[in-house]
Amino acid sequence: MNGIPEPAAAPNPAKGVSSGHLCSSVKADVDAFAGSPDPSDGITMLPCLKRAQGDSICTVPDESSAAAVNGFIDKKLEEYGLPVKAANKLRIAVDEIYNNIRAYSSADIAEITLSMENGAIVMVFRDNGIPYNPLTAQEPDTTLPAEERRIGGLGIFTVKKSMSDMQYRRDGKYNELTVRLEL
Amino acid sequence: MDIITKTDNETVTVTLSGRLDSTTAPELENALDACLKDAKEFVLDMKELEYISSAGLRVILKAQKTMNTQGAMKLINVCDDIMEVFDITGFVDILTIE
Repeated sequence: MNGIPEPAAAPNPAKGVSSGHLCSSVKADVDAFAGSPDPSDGITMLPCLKRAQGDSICTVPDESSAAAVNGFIDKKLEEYGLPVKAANKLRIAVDEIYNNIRAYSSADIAEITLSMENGAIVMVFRDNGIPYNPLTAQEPDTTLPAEERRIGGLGIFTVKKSMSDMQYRRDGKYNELTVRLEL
Repeated sequence: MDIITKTDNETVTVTLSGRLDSTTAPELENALDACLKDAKEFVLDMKELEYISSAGLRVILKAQKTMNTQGAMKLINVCDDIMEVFDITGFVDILTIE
């Protein structure tokens, strides 16, 4: 309109740089445009980070909710068009983490948020169950023979090995587990 | 997940297709409890299986423990991704995979 490019089409040489560099870049552009500005003129810049918005599903984490969760995850993974291997890793992560919430947390609210950020899939699991950080669980001994093997801990163990990053925090009344898979 | 069971004398072959996870593992466990009672040999064909989670590993481990006392068990047609899970979890040393 009026010969001015729409924001989405405008070139953005600062795309992907840090907020500090972004401010410096904008300041340099302003100085170049203004020439010799009046010293009494000030400029304040505050970088704001807009996180990618994801889609969420919120459930009562009981047995009957698994179908809805799987349907939501399948739909999102299809929208993202991921390779089969990556999609299956994420499905397994959802199965392990959500099942643990359902079976052990005593939560009556669970939420899974899925988003794509900077070439990675990010999944955030929140539940209002008993405080529990699964990343501190003892890893299973994978060298034991069949008769001595236990399955406890194997789910989170395999998710840890397959994801690029996992972070936990307690947020008020909520457990929040964030898993990230670089594509 | 689909489960197809074939019994030939004392050899039971179970073919899986789909996903073996916390929602489908109970069904497989029930099927194996029933069909492995008198089995001397158990073959688990995983050709059409998309992935397996720890719930599925639990059922497979239970079957292996059962067959350790009754005869033999082997897994066939295991895809690379599932093989990776077996490697990570040490199941590759517990199971017979062909």
